[in-house]
Amino acid sequence: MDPKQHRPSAIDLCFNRRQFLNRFGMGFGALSLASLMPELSARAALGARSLNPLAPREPHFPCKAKRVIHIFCQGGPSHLDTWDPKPGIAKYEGKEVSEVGGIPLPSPFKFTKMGKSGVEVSEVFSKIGEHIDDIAVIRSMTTDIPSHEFATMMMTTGSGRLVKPSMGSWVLYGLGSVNENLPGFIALNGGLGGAANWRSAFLPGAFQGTLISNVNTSPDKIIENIKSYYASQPQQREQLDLLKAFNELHAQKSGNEAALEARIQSFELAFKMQTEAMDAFDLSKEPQSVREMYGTEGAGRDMLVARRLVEKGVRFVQVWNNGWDHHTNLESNMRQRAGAIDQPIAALLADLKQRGMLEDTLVVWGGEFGRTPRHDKQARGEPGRDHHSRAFVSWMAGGGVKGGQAYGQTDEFGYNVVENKVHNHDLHATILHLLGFDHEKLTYRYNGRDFRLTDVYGQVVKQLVA
Amino acid sequence: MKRIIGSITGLSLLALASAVFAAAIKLEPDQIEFFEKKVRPVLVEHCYKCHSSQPDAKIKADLALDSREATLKGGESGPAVVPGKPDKSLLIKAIKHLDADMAMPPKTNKLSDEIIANLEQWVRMGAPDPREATDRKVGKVDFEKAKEHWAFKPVSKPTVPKVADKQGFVQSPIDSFVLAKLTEKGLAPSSKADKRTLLRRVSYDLTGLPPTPEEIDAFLKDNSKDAYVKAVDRLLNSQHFGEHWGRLWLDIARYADTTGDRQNGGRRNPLLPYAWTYRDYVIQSFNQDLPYDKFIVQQIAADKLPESAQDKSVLRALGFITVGKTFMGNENEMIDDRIDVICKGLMGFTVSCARCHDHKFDPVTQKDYYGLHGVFASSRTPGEFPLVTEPKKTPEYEDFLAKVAEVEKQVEAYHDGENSRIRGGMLDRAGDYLIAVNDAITSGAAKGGNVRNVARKYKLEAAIFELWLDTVRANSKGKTHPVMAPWVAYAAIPEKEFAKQSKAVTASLGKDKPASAVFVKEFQQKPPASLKEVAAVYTRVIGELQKAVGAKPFEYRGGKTRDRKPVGETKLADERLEELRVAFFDDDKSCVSLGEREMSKLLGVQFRNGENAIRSTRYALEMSHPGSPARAMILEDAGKGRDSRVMIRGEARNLGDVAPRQFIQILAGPNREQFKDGSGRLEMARSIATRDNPLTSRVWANRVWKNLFGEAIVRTPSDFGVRSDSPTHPEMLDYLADYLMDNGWSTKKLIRAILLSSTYQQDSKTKDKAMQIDPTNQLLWRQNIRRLPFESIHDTFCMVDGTLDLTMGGQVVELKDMPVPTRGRQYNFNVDLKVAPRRAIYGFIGRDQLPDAYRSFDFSNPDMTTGERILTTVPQQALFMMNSPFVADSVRHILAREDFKAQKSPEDKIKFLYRITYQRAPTDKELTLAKDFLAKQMTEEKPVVIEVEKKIDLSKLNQMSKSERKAAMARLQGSKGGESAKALDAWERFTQVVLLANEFVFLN
Repeated sequence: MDPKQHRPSAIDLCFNRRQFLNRFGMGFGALSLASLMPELSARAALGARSLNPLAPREPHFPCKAKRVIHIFCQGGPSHLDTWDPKPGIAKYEGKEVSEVGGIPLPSPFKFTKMGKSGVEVSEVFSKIGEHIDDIAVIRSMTTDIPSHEFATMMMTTGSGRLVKPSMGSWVLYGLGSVNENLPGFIALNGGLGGAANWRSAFLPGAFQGTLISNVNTSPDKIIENIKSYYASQPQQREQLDLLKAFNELHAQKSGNEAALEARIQSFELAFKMQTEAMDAFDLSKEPQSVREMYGTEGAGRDMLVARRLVEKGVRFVQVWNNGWDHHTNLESNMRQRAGAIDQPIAALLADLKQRGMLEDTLVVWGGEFGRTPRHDKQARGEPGRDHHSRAFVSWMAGGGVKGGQAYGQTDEFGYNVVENKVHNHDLHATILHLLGFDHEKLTYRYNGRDFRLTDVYGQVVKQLVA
Repeated sequence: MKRIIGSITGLSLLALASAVFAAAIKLEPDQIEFFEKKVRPVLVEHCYKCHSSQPDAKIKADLALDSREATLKGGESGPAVVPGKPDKSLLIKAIKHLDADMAMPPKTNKLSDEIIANLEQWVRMGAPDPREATDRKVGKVDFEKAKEHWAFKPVSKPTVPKVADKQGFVQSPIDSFVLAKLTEKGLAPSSKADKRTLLRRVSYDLTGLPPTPEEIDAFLKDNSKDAYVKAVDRLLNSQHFGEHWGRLWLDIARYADTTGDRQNGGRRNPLLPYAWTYRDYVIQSFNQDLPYDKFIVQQIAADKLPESAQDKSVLRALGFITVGKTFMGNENEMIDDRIDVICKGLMGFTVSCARCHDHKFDPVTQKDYYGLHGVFASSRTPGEFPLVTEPKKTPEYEDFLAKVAEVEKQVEAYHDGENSRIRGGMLDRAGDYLIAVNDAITSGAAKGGNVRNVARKYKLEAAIFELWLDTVRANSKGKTHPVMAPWVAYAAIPEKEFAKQSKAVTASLGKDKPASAVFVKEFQQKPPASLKEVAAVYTRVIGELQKAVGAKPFEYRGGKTRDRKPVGETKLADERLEELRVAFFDDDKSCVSLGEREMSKLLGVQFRNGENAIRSTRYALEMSHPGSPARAMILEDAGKGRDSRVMIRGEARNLGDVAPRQFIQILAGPNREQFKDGSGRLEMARSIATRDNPLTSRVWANRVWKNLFGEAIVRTPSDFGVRSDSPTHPEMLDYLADYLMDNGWSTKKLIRAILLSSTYQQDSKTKDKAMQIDPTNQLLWRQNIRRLPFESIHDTFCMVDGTLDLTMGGQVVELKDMPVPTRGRQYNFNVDLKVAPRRAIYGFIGRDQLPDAYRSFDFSNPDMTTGERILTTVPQQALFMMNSPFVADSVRHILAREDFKAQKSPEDKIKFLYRITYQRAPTDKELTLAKDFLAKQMTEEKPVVIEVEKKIDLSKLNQMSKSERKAAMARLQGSKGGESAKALDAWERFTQVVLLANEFVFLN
């Protein structure tokens, strides 16, 4: 080997070899390592261009999904009024039923069989319902504790209590990013619990989610320091050219040091990022018809931005849609909240499909838990439902999901799961599976232990996979 | 490539091993509950002694019953339990004493029928069993074997190797250790770095700041033999030494100025107003070279040291334990955090892994963990932290006291206001409540559960409404209180029948059920025509009572807290009302209980929330008011100390054996003594800070080394367990640890010894041959090139631009151009921090609220102890350098410096910039590049048009749509640069390039 070619390997910059072997190595099976290593040595010759923890990587096995949009409806959307019809409740109206711990509240909404599959969909989601044949509804979700904070973190990180990396961080850690000019994991809007839901915890900071507050309609406010108020682009170009010249003189004195080279490259990346990131959030680049289909405010804007981001190579977009905690006024609240996302999500699915992106984009919808079949005794207005962790609904579409099915079953009230229980951890395992990972092998060594998203739990639900 | 292939094989094996971690079976909560309540206690009490692998137990008949696996496997006679089949389960046969040979428990100790029935039912349920397999051979910690691990062996006094030294490299024993290894691999050490590089390196390594140009000049001129030693000693004695090394320590201490909890509607204030006093303690301790063993003991148990009685400032040390997260008040999480910071931070021992089960790899048991748990469960933080010194009566202090008093007054006013509103209303508006209650009952709303809705309809207090509802319900069936009897009777009349039936009811009042004379008299005098009139009488009469009693609402008398009765015990002269007074204020079974317990159950949360919301403003005052006196965030013993019980699988409700408070077995030996002195914190601290502990001195020596080389000897600095990296130079590590202890645990002496070695003073140039053999420089054939940490980058900018305020210590500030993000109201602390260009260590650190720049420059995560920051190079860092107001301001400050303006020619100006930033003169090549750049930029200079956000017209806010308004507000909050931004001119752009260059942020 030509000594001059032998620069420290790719990981030395951000993680030295020791850190790589100890921590990363465990993340990949022998199969993927074989494909990883030659790539690394080839890249080593390319120098610091590849010295990036976000460099794209192959998963454990071939699969369809390459990226994820997680539409997270925080607050605990009712499963009984959306995706899990329980017409039988009506006959108990006004009667105390011990199985549900109170007086059952029948859903005020009509359900209709939709699509070829004939899965029943609530009127509040009639537009998403038009895509039901691409959607796998999981009616048997369950989680551990019906408190918002705990269950929210449980859904976003797989742990309600401890500081664990977010699902998005794990995915980014596993797959890397195909666009170095944008963060690989973006949390749109954010919500309860804050950064705990998109942090990388003990994974390196490069895998941290970047919070973007999408209420800022001006793209330059979205990523810190993305726009210069101090110099024009041509002027910055000239600055960077001079910088490069200075840095090269400095490198001549210091020797071939990967860390120095990487920092030089990071300025070039940053320079390009300025245009690219601005572009991702600039919805004026979309045709009028597309903007109209999504709607340009609120969730419409969120979904359209999410699509633009994944299109540009962002691996994981966590879209927060808050306000689903309907203790009171279930009917009007539900019409309002669902009404606000029905068309945007339908537009997202249609748009992804038309672009051929639904095949390899996994769309996940759901909240942190469901709601009780009984009245919320504390309701302060029209009837509502209380928190409920024993049963709730999530759905997935695209990315190798077997659509047109309603998986799992709850009892006649929707109180307990009676068939094909899918725990929060199982959903995570399945999402990782769809992305090509064995969830038990996507691990990271920390404190002498190999941690994973699913802790010591999780089973892939094969029936959800096409 | 050979190395890499070797590693791959190793890796796949490891990957396989990790897959062996089988997924645990998930049981239903009710199954677990059944097992934990009805099965486990029986097994523990009656069976474990002879049938378990627990310590001190036996395994008779080869049968163990202390894990699911073992139980199913059974012993000599076969499986003990066949799930679902009690009649085929030997366990059931045995406890039923069906077979005399097998009767268990033996002799006459047959279990009760109830217990037997429970166990049968359990087997019928399928024998759900959450207990994890504790295979006797694998699961048990093998202490003897663990002792063979290098880190658990006593620190040795290694012999310094003799090695051929042609270069004259060996200046200290350290060099001998290093050279021996290099020679072994056919490598040679690098030559000494040049003086300029060396002074820059040692200045940053000791103080986190660059040398001044004057210091460089003096050092270059000093040709004496000990010039370097003098420089090292000067820097070791600099006050800034403590700031730099203190910050490194704060990473380990997971320091922050907030608890990490969210605001929760303002009810919980996440500020830690006095965390800074711990930070100052750390800085001072490093500056005074407090022996490291003492440093440890003070940080864990200062309150129990005699010296803290004389000098309260020592108490600040306890912040090490108390500046952690508070986990929304979850005590076990807090204790876990404390165990973690102590064990990982001080001993590189991942003890917290044993929270849920014995450690899988390292020799630490769950009992060890809960032994330490007991220490912290027996400690508490006091309601008010003690003053560090008696505050002087300055005007600031007086003002602070006045402001705090005002907050307390507000709390009191709130309390009084709410109290009289609620309880006043409760009695004054009795009739309104009764009418509403009647509505709820007759309309059926009370049944549907939406009673609060009814209360709202009538504009009544929901909690009080519920109280009246319960009262009416209770009195409607069974026993009726005399006061309520008339109401119940009238309310029972259907609305339309009232006129017809009320006469008869009035006539019968007090006949079949006792009724209060006041009311009977009232109604007989003027028979009511409607239920409303009945209610009006209740309102009037009870209102009179309230007035006559005249007590302040929510005042209680006698008895134990929460069981007290309301004040109102004085007899009333008015006989008519006295009967009622007894009913409401004296009688335990009064019709509507006003007792404290009842009230606080109903209103406690509401009150506490309201109060806390006001009181939380006090934290902000304490943190930022200039007159707020320093307090120490102490921990103290709560009584005599109490052992914790093992929490099976880490679940607080799933308790196992008692774990005595004592030190970790592998370190203290099997015959360790239990802690006796209160919580045991002092004994624990002393078990850590001792020569007998093989970890403490090694871990610290390793950390010190890492701070001076960028890479440590053990490259997992917070994990010295069996899965850690082996030391690159094991003998040298022991030599350093021993050196530390032999020199009275003096950190400064250890640092000095390392700095004076040739190893440290090597240059950092890469060399092809060495790069091939040892690319990550494990053998130390050179000094490492290191990027400055975030704090040093920040401080250097401020130092170079002349704004750095070198004031030491005191309350936290907001760093200039590093606004604390207030993401949403949940993390808006309403604290008014002073903005100042201080060193970064004095900047506010909000958990989950670090300014973006901190994160992108790899600042440590303050949520957990951090032994090494993982350095990354990401474009966000470059964006910060290129576009942030921080850098632009800094550039402008530099050019505003008088000494810059004094430079006449462009060449002088360039030279000046080089001198203050890189402490050297530019080369000819650099000078040419600079001049060319400036010349070109100057000629092309024309007013640059940069799109600047349009000014937000605040007067238009009302006309905006909701989302527009939201966006505008967000823009206002986040506006930096914004309209105040002004484009940089040519000189400024040039200066920026100088600051952006690698040389500025890398240490050679």
